[in-house]
Amino acid sequence: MKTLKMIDQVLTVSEFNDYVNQTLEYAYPEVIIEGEVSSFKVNQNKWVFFDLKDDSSTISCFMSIYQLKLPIQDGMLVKVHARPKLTQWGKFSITIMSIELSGEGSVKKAYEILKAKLDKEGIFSPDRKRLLPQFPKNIALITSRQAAAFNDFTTVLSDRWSGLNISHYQVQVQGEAAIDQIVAAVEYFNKQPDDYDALVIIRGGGSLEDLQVFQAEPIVRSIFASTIPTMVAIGHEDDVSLAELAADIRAATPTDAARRLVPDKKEFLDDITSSTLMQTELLRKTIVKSRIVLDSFNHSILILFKSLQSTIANYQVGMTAAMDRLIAAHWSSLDAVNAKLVSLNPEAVLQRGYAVVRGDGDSVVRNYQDISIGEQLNIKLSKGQLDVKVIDKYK
Amino acid sequence: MIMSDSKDFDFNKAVEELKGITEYLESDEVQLEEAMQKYKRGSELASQVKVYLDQAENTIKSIKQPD
Repeated sequence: MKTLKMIDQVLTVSEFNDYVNQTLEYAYPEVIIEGEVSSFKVNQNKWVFFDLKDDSSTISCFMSIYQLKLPIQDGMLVKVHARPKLTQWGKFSITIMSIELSGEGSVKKAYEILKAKLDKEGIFSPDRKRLLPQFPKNIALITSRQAAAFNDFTTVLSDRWSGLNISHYQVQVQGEAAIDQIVAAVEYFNKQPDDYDALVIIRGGGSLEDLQVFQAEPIVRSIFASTIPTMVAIGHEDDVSLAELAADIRAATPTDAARRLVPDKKEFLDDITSSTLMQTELLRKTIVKSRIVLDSFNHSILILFKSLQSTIANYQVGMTAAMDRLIAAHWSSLDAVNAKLVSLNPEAVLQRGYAVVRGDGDSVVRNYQDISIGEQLNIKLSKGQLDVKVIDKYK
Repeated sequence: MIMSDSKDFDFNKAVEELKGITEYLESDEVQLEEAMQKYKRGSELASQVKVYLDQAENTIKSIKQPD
């Protein structure tokens, strides 16, 4: 046997360490150890060191920070999957491949630590919660097809709404692998965020430990970072997971998620019918209103017409009176002119007893000096004429 | 307009337009002629929405996961 040969063989320190490690690896390819965490520390933000202990023993633990998906603190009870190893410095430790919380106390403590940390970052802030579209069409669904949650969700969706395109990304919903799968699924859908109206992560009920996946920081952060509005339903009534707190909308169960996601077709169609009836009624009112406006317009026109008629009639009366006055004034001035004319008529003068004396050539005699004694004159009277001879003249 | 293919029908747009028509008819600045046109459009949209919900089906597609 190899071990017997080694008694005679001189080994270097490194060779010895290698032999020990080979032996350990052969004997304990993977061990699961449960213990309490103490002296927890992180070096260079890369390497995690702590001790795992029980009442009488202690063992050193080492792991990469990338494998640490839970908030670990001194005093927590954890279960680790690990490989024992002798380091090059001769120190015995175990290299941890994965770690999970053990016992309700640790689970709750880890939950509170992470919750407080993420809350401080604003990851659960109500201010950044987005509304989901009222009528979503393209749904990104992350869950396990094997779980009852899948059927519950899709059945209720189909009962309620039509025309949905559900894109399902298959993931495990419990166990260590679930975390990476769910994060990958969220990232996958968010490569084309415009193609989806809502991103839904669902899981049926389970024990508190089963639901640990949804307390994992990477999942919470991926939900927080999702460009697509998120809805998370982890069917556990008593405890709200951090994933749910980070989501835009939290639903109690997968069935509740379906109800919150889409409206009820029947209720919606009733609303449409009501809306049509309302539109009919509004149109009827508009028609009635238009008639009233038209009638009132006609009435106004009638009043305006009547008032115009009356104005015109008034004008007519006024104009007639004015014309009458004008004519009367004309007549009156005409009478005066006429009277004057009448008074100036030579015939009228003759009638008053005057006479017109004419001499030679029918010229009217106005001066006694123009006449010679013995000259023959003509005297025109009002009635008849006289031919006379001048017998004397004087001033 | 008669809906030929439910896939081309923009449900959200139709519902928005329908809401807009009701709001217009409720407003104080309704003109009779426009109101009648909008009412006609509203009736068309309502029936299109009903037909869509009646005919459209839900589909489930499995995403092929990258290895």
